[in-house]
Amino acid sequence: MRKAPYGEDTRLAKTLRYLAIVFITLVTMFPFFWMISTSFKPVKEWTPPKPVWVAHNPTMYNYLTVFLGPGRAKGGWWASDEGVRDVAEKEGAKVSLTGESSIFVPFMTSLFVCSCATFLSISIGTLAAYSISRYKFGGNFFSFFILSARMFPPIAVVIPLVVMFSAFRLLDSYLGVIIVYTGFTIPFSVWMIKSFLDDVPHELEEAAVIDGMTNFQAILKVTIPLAKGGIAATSLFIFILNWSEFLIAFLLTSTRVMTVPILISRYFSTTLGHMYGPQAALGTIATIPVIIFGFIIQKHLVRGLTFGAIKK
Amino acid sequence: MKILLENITKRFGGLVAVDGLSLEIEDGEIVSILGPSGCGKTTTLNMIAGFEYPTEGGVYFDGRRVNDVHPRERNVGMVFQEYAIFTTMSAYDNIGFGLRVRKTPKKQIAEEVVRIARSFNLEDALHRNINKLNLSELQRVALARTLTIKPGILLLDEPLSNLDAQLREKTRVELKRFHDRLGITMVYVTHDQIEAISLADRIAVMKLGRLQQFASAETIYRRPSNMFVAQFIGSPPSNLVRGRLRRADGRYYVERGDFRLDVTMHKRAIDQGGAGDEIAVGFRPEDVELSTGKGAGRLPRGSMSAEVYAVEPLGDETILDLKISDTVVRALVSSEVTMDAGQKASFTVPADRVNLFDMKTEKNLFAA
Repeated sequence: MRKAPYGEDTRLAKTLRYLAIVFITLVTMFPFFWMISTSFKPVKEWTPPKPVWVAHNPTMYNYLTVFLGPGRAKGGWWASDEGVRDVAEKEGAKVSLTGESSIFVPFMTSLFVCSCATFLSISIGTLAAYSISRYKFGGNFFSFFILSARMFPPIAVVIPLVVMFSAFRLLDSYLGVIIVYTGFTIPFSVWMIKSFLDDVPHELEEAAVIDGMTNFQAILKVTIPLAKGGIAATSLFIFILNWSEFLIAFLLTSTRVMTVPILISRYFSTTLGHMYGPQAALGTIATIPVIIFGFIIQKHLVRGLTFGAIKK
Repeated sequence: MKILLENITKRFGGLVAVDGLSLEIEDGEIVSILGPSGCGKTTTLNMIAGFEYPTEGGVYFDGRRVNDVHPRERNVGMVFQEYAIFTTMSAYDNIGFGLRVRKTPKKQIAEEVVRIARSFNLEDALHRNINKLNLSELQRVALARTLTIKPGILLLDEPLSNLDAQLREKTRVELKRFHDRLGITMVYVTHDQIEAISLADRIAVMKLGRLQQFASAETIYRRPSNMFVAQFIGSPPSNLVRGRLRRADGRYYVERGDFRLDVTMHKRAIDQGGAGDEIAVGFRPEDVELSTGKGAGRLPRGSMSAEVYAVEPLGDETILDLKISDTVVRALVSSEVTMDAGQKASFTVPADRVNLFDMKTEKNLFAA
């Protein structure tokens, strides 16, 4: 057999590589599959002795609970669930599901808070990254200093923040959460966007300036459009961070402001314990915005632009 | 526009990039700033463009001090080494960029872009995918873009360094023709002396932030101001023999081992130059005259005998490395001269074509 030339894989290597890819994909996708599967399971199949892969008796109760709120589910459809009936008999028909929240308000809250915080973080981060990338603002120390804000566990910062926010009357407010989310994600946006801006040759800005643009116009109309792929990727990353954030939201809010991760934690029944079905259903719904966001910016995620430079 | 750089110095922290540079560039002149990398030539260009401000000294355009004028208001055009094409735009939008920024009416932009594209042979490229244009087209787009705003000065930062040898030569000729047509003041930064010599009216040779010489190519070639310039210009570079001056019977010689050159004819320059005994003698490889010693057997006066150390054929000419004591003298001879390494050879150096340098100051004793 002719030896495969350098850089070209043999059939076996190719097969092995694809197998590895399939395996890794299966492993990483499994929790996602399990969440979707659980979202259709009735109570008895949530934590059975033998794992249930796909719901034997698929039900929409979980989704109804998510959309209409567990409180209203109490005497209604849940009563027809076999598992609930069992518990009800044991407990003397006192199956109570706490909480009145349906998904709508927390979902809109999350969307609003995360969008605002992501937008602010990216805007401030881009400007900061620009000054660090082009003017070496603060020398080598400054960008490191920014990152140090993420070097200790968030809980260490959140406790004093709770005290301060209570003084400023920012607890349990949209603004409070937005401020903290913005602040916590800025180090990431600065560092990521800086690396993308570093890739845009400064000659392009100089060319724009010498042809008549102001410095700020050149940044806005020449540099940022060239780095938009990276900025879009950073936005997605930051949005996901905010969207899935639990701890800070949990400590800074109580009743007025509730985000989706907090709502998930509220799906708890004194009699049924963790309501895995509704939690899974809510989790499934909560991934949709991120997937949509990902699809929208997908075409910007492709890197490898030559940025106007001529490769030697 | 006329450019005057008056004693400008640029420091970056402790690093002195440009040190007390003064240049006066006439309107319509092409000036090359030539030097090895790190000599401050690009910094100088950036100060003319306005991307850098001089730490000391003044930049004047037509007598107006522009130190604090933003690049956009300097009315200069610049072609960058990597062309700085906006890949997010078409060639058409690239060329019309400056006019668009200036809020010129669309119709006027269209006319102007088409007109200038025609003069650069770019009509076909205007609406093609910019990433599909070849290097030569991109370069012309970059040039066309800077010219639509009708700059008073055109700055070029190594614009040919990305092109292959053949295209480089062609573009060089095009640049020259284009300058003849427009008569625009051009400042051209390069590390390639052939580009500098063939394009520029005058060349500013720089080294480590300092101006070494500012003169025509001919002068720089024949009368380099110092030892650095002598060795930097020319291919192959000048021979520089660091010797000692010996006075005997009213005659002056520069000697190093068996190398011995009668420089009596330059007696006055040597005496008036105030140089010590350490003198370097510089001469062009093409000025070295080979005397094979065959035939009559009598060698011309002043002949030195050497051993052929290496032979480098260049096609129509050949470089011979002649070893004499510890010195290697390079001679550029016709390729008809056939010699092999190891052979003995005699040569003379015409004393009227040499430059003499004071080794302490490294300056040319003939320099004005």
